[in-house]
Amino acid sequence: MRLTEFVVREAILPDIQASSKSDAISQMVASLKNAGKIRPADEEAIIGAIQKREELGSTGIGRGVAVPHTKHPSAESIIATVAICHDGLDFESLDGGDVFILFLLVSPPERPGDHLRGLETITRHLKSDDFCNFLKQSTTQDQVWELLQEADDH
Amino acid sequence: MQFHYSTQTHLSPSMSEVVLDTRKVKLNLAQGLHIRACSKIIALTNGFDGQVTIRHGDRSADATSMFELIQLAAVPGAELVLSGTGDGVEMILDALEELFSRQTEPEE
Repeated sequence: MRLTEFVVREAILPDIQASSKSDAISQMVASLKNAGKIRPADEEAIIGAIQKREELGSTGIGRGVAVPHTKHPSAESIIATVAICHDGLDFESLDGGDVFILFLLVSPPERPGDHLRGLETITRHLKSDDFCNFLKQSTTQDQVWELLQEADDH
Repeated sequence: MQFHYSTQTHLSPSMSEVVLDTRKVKLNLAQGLHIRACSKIIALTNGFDGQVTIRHGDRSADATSMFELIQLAAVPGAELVLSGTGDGVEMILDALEELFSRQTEPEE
């Protein structure tokens, strides 16, 4: 699976200003809605489902990365957006550190394989210090998108 | 369990503290090895002095590494090979085997 297959370019937030974990999730889902990838009527339900999932355990998986997610029929295939929080955000991460890179995923129900492959793709690239560092330095949608393309090509 | 086998080797005398255990298990978790299940694996292996590795196909993960566990991308029904070394490793692998045999999701 390639990052550029499921990350929605128009929904990338290269400089998110979020007051909290919950605020960041809401902004990222709104960005997917504004990009036309989820129905406006589903926005609140998707935000609620992602936040409920976070209550079971943070998706801040370490290395300054969080992958909030949910499954929802609004998504016909797996979709994601990326947000860069340059100041860092408390996401109650497993390693206790702030989060700088967020990948939010919405995948169709009953297709756990798609969700797992999306997570695998994201973490495979985020293991690279260079990829993380360049992402954290990005300030425009184009810069983030070019990094995703470069990662896909390697 | 259908895919279960177990080997234990006690090395002695110079490595008498090393215990090896290997098992092949089927992943029954309905959502596969997703983040919450990976968190549970890490919790089970946290504080263990030995080493536990989980293999899925040609991929292998240190059971204490969230990034490596996610990259196994193990779907429901996947065959996993658990292996470990260290005093008490059989108890750790017992707990992992029990976790993977469930169909419902583990609660935090």
